[in-house]
Amino acid sequence: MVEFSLNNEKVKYSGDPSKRLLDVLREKFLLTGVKEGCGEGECGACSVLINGRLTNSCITAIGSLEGTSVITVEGFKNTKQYQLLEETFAKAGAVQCGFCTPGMIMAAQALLLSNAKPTQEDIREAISGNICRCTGYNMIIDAIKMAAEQGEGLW
Amino acid sequence: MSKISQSITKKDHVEKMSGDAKYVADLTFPNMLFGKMVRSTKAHANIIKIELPDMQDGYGVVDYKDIPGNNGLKVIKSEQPIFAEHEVRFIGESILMIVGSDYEQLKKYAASVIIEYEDLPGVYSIDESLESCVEYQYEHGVVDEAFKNATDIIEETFYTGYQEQLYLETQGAIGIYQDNKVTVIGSLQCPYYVKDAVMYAMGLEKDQVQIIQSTTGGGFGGKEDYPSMIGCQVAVASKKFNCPVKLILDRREDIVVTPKRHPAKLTYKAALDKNNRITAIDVDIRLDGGAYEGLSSVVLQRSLIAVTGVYKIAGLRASGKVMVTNTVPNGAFRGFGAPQSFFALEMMMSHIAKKIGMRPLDFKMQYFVKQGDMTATRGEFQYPIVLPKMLERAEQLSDYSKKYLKYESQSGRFRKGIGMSLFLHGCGFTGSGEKDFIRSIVQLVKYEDDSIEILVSNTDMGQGVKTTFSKIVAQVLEIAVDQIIITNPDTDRVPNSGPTVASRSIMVVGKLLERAAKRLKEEYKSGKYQMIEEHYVHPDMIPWDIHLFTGDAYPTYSWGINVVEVEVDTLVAETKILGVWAIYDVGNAIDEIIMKGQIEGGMLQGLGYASCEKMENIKGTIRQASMTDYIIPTSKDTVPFVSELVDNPYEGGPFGAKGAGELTIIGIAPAYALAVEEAVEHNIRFIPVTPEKLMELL
Amino acid sequence: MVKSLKPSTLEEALKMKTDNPDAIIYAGGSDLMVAKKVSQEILFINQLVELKEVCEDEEFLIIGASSIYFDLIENPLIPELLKQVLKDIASPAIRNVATIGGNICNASPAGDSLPALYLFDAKIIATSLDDNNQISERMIPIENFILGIRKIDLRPNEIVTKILLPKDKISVTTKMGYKKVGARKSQAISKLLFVAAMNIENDKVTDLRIAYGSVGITTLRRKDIESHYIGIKYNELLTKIPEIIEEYRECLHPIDDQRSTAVYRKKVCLNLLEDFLNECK
Repeated sequence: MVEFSLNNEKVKYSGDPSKRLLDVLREKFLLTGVKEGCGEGECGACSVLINGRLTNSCITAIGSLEGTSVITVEGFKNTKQYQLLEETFAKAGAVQCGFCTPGMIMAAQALLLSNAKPTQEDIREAISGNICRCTGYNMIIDAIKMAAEQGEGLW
Repeated sequence: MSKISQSITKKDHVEKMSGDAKYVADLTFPNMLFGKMVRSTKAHANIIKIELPDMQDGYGVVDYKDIPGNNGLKVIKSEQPIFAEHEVRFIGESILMIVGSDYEQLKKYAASVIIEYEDLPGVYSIDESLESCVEYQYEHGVVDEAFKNATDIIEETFYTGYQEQLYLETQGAIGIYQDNKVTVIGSLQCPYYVKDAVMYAMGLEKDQVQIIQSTTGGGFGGKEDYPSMIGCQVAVASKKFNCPVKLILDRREDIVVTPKRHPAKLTYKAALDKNNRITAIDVDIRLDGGAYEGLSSVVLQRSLIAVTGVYKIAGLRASGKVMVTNTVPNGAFRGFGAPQSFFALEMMMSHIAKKIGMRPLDFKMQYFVKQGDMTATRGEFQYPIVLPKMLERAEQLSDYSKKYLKYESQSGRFRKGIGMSLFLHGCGFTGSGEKDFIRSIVQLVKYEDDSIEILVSNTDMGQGVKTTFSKIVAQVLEIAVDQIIITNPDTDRVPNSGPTVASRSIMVVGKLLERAAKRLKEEYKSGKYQMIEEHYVHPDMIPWDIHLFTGDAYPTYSWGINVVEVEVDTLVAETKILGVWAIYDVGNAIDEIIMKGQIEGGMLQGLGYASCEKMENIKGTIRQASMTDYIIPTSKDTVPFVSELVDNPYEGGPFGAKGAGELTIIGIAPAYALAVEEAVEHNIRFIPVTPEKLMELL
Repeated sequence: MVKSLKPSTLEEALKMKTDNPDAIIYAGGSDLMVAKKVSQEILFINQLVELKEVCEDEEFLIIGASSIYFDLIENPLIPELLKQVLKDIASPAIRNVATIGGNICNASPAGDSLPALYLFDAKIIATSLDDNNQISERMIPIENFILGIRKIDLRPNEIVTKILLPKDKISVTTKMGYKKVGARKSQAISKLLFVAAMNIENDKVTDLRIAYGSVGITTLRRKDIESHYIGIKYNELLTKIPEIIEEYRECLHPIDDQRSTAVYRKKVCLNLLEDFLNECK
């Protein structure tokens, strides 16, 4: 049995402790914003925040999460921070097929939580574990930079 | 830039950002079972015996015996089996499917299937291959005489490697058989291709097969034909087990079994006269088609048509073959044969220039094609060509010629180089396909509440057609884009406007929508239901003849110039990109930001093709078969790009737009390779230019 | 069903490991989960704060084995060379969970932290409970701890708890060298990894250490070769560079694999060494 906080709500899981957090989120909690792009911690499409830190849910065993706080895009999307990112991602054209997008959003949030005024290089570094095949990354970096610049007091 | 180009928020932006968008792996249905394929581990063999594990109730097997119709994947021909019967021809070929309710259990059963094979001899590369499945040849002008009288003949052979599409969402579909009808929901580019294939495999009529596109996480051509295979497999399984069946490929499986860009071997031979002018070129192209033909004939066609690029060459002989090997069947990937040709051509022209003591650009400029000139296949460049204007701008932005001079001789550990490529892309389906097979139809429906729905079979896979199509219709009708409904195509509801390939969506289908919208505007009756249907009208062109391989292969062309500047660290043979500049003529951009997305994404894919995307096939086994091992660029492997569009509206396209989706990947590989070439002062004839290969040259 | 063992202290963890010798230890989990290792029991030590402490005594810098890369990178006590190495491993998300103990115990030929640890003469502390249930520690030099590919000198009732870095080995030298060669700038398994340290005092070479990763079954470090050149004048060493290169050429045996070639790896290893040795001119 493992108890943790999922999108700010206390939850329990009593199944196989070695099950991937990715599968538990998608199957038990029906949160399909996390995606399986590779299953080996290489693409970041499964990214979530665990205790505020960016983590690949496909290589996290559910049994390791006792007492932690897990945030997925579904939990993040009702915040003002997300709203601003939604605007700047639209303006900068940072979404094409969308499969990497929730992961990129979590990576952006993880960055801005720890560094509210990142440089272009900081952003490049922060999303370096999130693979995108459609956009070439630069427009995503622009979107995050725009949000940081416009987000006075949000982070 | 016209008013329409002004960017808007994409129609599917919010759902994709928030994780609400449902891709096929996110969908579930009552009583749904999962499928797991069991695939050949041999490159060429006969299947002697299959031993299945003991399986619990509720688990079963689907194989070729369960196919109600024909065991053939209908693409152009139908030569590839849906499930192999007795012979397997490549590692990863589908043999059977295990179906059941627990995916982990399924994987265990699938891994316990024991297959006894009888090995057969195999060939694994173009040079080893003994047979071709497709051949074309064409020529124009004086060729043999030119070579006979040549003062100098220069011959070079170029090699290009595989490229894996690596869309972030792996392939997959759900098949639902109910009441004598099958519905397939999947990640796909061409719903009607899947429909035709499923009808053929299931032996069903038109009204018994329904294909619905689910939100698709990238395609790039990789989901042009393979979804038909998965569609047929889940349709058969669903019928057998009388419930929905979901088959999602895992990443390693997807990399191993789905079609990739054809590896190519291109031999260019140029005849030069005493003034060092090219009088004729002879090109031989060999594509590695893998084990089955699939789309390879059309890929070869485009590759052959592109052999002289933006240059007017007096005499040309071009021949090509698709070679059969016991490797994964190759297929469509953005560019579709053109990237291979443009790599060889741009390198060849630069090498000739250097040999005769000219700078590459000065040499190439002598041959720039002009409006009214004949194309390689005796068509005509009917429309204005703004290459000189583009070149001027490219120079202004990148300082190419100045830098080329500066980098001509260097010493020390770090060496810089700059390369320029000039290229075009024939817009739309190659040859007479639009007229003879596709015969596109679009529908525009106005409901009683005056909301408008676009009914087309084209799919949005990230390139934004939902938004660009809506903009076209909205602009004509002078209404807000929000008033327009466009959903993922369902073949029960939409006409066949053709596949989402060949950079045809905006130019061909968008044009039909523009016409439909204009007609709706004229005939508009508020409060009444109206349906406007438009059919494809073939533009005035020199007719394409596939047997003679002559005529206008495309109605028009988009153009591009790319410049890449690099710095090579000779100690480790690693190349750092310093700058990337691009000028494109796509007629007009329906949405500036969407177009920029195509530029940024396409170019980075092309840079990957040129530098790090190495895939080796060792006796039929792909060595780089995971996201860990098949290397594509991360955010740290690129730099900001500088790009601009030039206006050159095309009357045959909506608001002047031409094809743009593939253009942006076509020319960047040679620009990169030419930059590296200058830095290391050694001709390069292969891509990817990996550090390992570069070190051999240093 | 897989049993989850969740100790709240190190002592509990050691007891659980003694009672469940086949249990898999889950620290960061990244290597484990990628390799899809299976077992009937998983011992989750990822939340044991005792194993994440970084402190020092007179002789050693003591790094808790479950210290996460991210935290080590932020910690002022960690030597700069090790920080640089850790910054280049995998991706931000992996650096948020992966542990130095995990990297060592995975004993991959391409384990990126290993060459620096070999350079520092790191000692591994393997801890267990003895017959009287007292905590017992075994200190093993890292070059003896790693026995081969995925093979370590760790007994079934032991958990690696600390990595000890001798303070005299982590002090800053005149020149430190580091280069990771990978196929891309993030998320790259090393094709080869080079670390080196050289100290020059009064024109004499007082220290020379060289280690290579990803070019053999384990990290390559040849103290015997190094010792030939310690104590001589730097100017003399410069004349002996071709000799040194030859010695390493003979003992480097990289392979061809999906990432790179033996020829390239060897060439670059030697180029990097030559460049490093020349750099103090």
